[in-house]
Amino acid sequence: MNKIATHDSSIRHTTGQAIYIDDIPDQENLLHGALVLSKCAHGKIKKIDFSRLKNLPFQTTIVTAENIPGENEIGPIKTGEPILADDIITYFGQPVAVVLAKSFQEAQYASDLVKIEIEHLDSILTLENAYNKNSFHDDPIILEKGSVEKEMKKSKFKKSGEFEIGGQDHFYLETHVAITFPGENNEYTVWSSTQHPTEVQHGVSKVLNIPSAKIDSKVRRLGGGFGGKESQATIFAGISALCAFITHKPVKIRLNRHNDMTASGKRHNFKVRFTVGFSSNAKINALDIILLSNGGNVLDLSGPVMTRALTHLDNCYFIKSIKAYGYICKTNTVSNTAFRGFGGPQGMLVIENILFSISEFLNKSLDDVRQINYYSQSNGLTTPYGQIVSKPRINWVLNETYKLSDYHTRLKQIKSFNLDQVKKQRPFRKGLAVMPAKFGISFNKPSFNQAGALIHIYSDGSIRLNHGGTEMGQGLFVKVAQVVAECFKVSLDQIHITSTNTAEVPNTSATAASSGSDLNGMAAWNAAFTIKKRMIDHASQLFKKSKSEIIFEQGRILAGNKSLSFTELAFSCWENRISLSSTGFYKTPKIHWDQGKLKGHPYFYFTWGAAVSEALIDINTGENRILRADIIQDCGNSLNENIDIGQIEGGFIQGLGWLTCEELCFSQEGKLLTTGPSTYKLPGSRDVPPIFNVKLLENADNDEKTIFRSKAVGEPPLLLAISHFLALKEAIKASLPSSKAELLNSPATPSEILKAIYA
Amino acid sequence: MKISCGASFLTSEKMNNIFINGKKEAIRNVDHDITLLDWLRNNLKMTGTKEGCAEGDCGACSVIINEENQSNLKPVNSCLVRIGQVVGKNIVTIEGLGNDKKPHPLQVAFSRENASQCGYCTPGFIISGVSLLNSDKEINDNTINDAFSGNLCRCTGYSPIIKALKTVAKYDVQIKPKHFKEETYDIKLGNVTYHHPVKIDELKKLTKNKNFKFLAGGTDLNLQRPIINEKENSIISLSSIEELKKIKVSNNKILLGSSVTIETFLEFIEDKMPEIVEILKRFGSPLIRNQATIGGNLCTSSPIGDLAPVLLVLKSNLNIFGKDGRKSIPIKDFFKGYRKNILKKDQILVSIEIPIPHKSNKLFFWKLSKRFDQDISTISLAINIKTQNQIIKEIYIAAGGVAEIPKDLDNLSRRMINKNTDEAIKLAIDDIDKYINPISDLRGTSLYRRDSFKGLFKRLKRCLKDDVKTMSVMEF
Repeated sequence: MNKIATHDSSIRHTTGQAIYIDDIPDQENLLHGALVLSKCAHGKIKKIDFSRLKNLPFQTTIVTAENIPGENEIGPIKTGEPILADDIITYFGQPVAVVLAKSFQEAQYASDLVKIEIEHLDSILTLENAYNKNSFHDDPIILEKGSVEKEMKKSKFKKSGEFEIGGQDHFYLETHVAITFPGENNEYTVWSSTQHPTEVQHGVSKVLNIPSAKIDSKVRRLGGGFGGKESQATIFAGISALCAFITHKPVKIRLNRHNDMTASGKRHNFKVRFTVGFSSNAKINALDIILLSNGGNVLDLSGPVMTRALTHLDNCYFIKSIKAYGYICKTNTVSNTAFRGFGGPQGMLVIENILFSISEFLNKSLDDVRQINYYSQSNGLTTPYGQIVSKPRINWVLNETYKLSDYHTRLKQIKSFNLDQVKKQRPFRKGLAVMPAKFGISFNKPSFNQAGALIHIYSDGSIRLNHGGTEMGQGLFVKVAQVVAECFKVSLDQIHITSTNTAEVPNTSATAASSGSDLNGMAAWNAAFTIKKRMIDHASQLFKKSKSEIIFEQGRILAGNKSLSFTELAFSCWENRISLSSTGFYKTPKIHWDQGKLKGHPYFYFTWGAAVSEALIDINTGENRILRADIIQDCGNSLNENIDIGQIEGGFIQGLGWLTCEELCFSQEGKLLTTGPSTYKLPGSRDVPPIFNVKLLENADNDEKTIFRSKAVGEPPLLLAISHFLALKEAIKASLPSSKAELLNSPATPSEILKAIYA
Repeated sequence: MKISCGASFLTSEKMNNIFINGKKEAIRNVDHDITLLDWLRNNLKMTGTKEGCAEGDCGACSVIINEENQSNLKPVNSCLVRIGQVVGKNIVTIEGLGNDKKPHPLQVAFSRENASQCGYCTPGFIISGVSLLNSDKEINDNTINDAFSGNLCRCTGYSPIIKALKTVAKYDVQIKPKHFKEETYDIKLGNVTYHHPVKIDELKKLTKNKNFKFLAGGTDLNLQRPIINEKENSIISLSSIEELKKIKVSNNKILLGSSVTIETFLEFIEDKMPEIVEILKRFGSPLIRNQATIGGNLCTSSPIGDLAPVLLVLKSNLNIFGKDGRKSIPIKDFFKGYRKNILKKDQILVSIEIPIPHKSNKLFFWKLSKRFDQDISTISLAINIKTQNQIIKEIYIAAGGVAEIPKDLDNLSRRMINKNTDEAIKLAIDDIDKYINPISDLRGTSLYRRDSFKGLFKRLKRCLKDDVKTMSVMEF
């Protein structure tokens, strides 16, 4: 297999020839829509005043919730999630109406003239406030194992604490965008920048009250997704479809950056309170913990996000007893949603923070505290949710990472660096920390773990590939194409990659949970293999050889000393009326899950990884940097090493942003203040560690039968950036005798760091 | 009612053109406030240039302005350029560099090195990368990071982008875009005329009626929608006025024209006052600095403008021109309140006189922000100090981000003078609340601003003791 193939669109990316939704040439009658966003966090709509639009020298059309022919509803899990506010506004920046005009600029201008009269209602903006007022989206999600009360009592030491973990804007470079083209007989074609075309199809179907069969939902590529276009894209695609329905014209909805950041969900911010009971050798006996996540105004995907946070609290550690309550707070802020890691990074940051506190309390190294708690035969291999960690690769990835980073030597060097700084009264401190990680692969809800593909071979031998996954930059399309090329033993350029389209592959799952290549790669293999079997049958008759003697090799089909090119065989199949088209289907085996009890075997397998980061801080100013990072990631038998390394590097840097410079700020009225890159700072090129070594774990075939024994890679590397957060804590710990690293909340901005130093 | 978007038409008889990749493109059917980005995408259907933020901070919309007699190509954010500003100019877009049949070597390198994932930011990186390769700068991590400081990528983590740029041999990949010469002339777009005066005296006539607005680089004004109010119908661009574009050096001062771009100033000052370079390099990005002007930065009079504290401690004077003639004032008298200064409607800043400090003076310019590159200051501090036997003989201190104007801390300077440095710095730290009263906002809390301000004085102490120019995490 061509394991080093570059992204299929790369040359079109670099020349600007790749077509994104907003690049599709406008049809003559296209209308552009601009959203009217609410200007309060909670209130009853008394009147929407469009009077100022009457005097405009251009025509506008107004669409509100009243125009919805079907249901004002796109909740991915539960109901009660409108596309346009109807009667009650529940967050600052919520879409209330749409103004349509001939140009984007006109629509935008006109939308600013709309006034919404409001009767203000009390709003809940913080997690603390929501918790105190019992404002939750549902009953808490509870993960329980053993008797925490009993084990806590038996523990020699107890430590309590609390900390906060900030949210994160996805900041895909392409903002939300969708175009709907109305057709005859109530047919609609929706192009949208979505990770979940099927959900767009269902959402549009519900909003328009038109059966799914009449709605084609398509996407060729996204300009970045990261989870932000899993459920959220449906809102804006739904609005564009509604407007197309009302006007009988194609309608484009493209959000400017300000509106995108204001009106679309982000990574959940968390607040955590814990008491941990442990022995004098740092063994955790009991963990009693409350996680508050900010669900926002509606539930969206917050339930599974909390479930993943709870099922990743353990990370690599065997915890004897645990009582974890996950409350999804209902607040008057934008509904938070999926974001790379999906609660996993938050859960893992929680346990790592707790281990750090134990290490400070016992005056032991963080590594020693970890060592005694790792999943192992002697400690135990059963997770708090009942799945057995059959063959942990903790020590394997750790040892490789220690080697790659020269960890133990550098630990000593950093210690003497810090001593020297103190001696010379200079302001710099360094910290070095490792982060081991286990990440569960599969959607927690078993029914999402299915995929389909559709392959056509034409009589000229060219192969058209379609599957349910979406391409958002992660290289899924080329990986799946590699699988098909490998099945037919043809070169990669013989496979034509096509847009994701619900008309070709129906009932798809979101491209999410890192599962894209596992699911779609296997479905495509199954489709290809079905055709291949027919071709083998035919070739065996043609060559008068047994099926086992038919060999596909380098674009040819060999049988003894005879052979045909792939094209010739395809033509011959057509001539002999053999179908050259097939669907393929795959469902992940072995998984089961009881969401009520939070027990089962939710993950087909685990990926493993570890990172070592070196942090530098200035104790006078809180300025900070990452100087070096070394990463080992378990990708099984990688489908494409270059693409996987790209995912690791990119995910790690995105994680650094989440934990350091990316800070979402809200006004007291609940208005998001950081609505563009001028105020919301994501990492730039200079923020990449000057020394950055990334390697895949070698000879590490997946124990489970995944596509070519590979492993998923999209999300896990992001949380390896926690190594830098811990390294910053180590540096703070070395700052002043009074410094308190445990006070450090995420993101570790200069301000947060200075606060912990001068505690 | 006058509106500032869309549906109005070019009324000028004269054909107005912009040269895009060497092809003459007529400006038709556009209103005054259309950006170069929207014009490229919507009118010319050239969609390789992307909109990522429309506020000059992501770089997805980068294009090159190819000025005559300029060896360097100037990449800018096309979202911050109004079409009336670039009439008659030469622009290179991503489409002008190559295509899948005949790609530019940097495009090939990006493809080969996996430097694109979702690809949306990629054209902007290519534009910035090609501009760097075309310059006379050495290619190393530092110059690459400088060149990319205005381009954001959310997918790759930048490593392959940097690697791709390093793999191409500089002199094999330089481009020589055609340049067509056309005068920049006044242009009427919709109801609004862009004036491009060349001589300063033309302003007297142009400012006679009150319905105008001055436009310098436009990196601040062009963010506002609308850019002019309903009564205004004329935009007077200051970028063609000869006198405003000059830099002169004599043995004891620099005379800096107000329309000099930050990037030009940066290149000019590098060997003359290297202490300023770091803070200038953190001023926006090359995409911003190629457009933003010295005068614009001072005249927006933002409390977090990066230049004001520097010019305050250098005791600069400002030369002002208006219908009543010329005058000169010390910069400390210029700022009047939040985004307010003493300029009257018809007055402009012509130039800044910067006395070159004596060699025995030490200059420290520090900026704190959430991110090192392309970020707005949380606070900044400028110090011009002379010590003798550990006694402060001369000191000027100014700060940004601690008050509603760039703050001249002359009260503090006066208290520190003639004191032992340690004692004086301790005094500054202990009594900080007497001198600054910063607010909390999204760039930092009041507490952080105060604590880090003290921290910078601790840094000053260390720098003086160890006799080093600065002390920053970036040195590692």
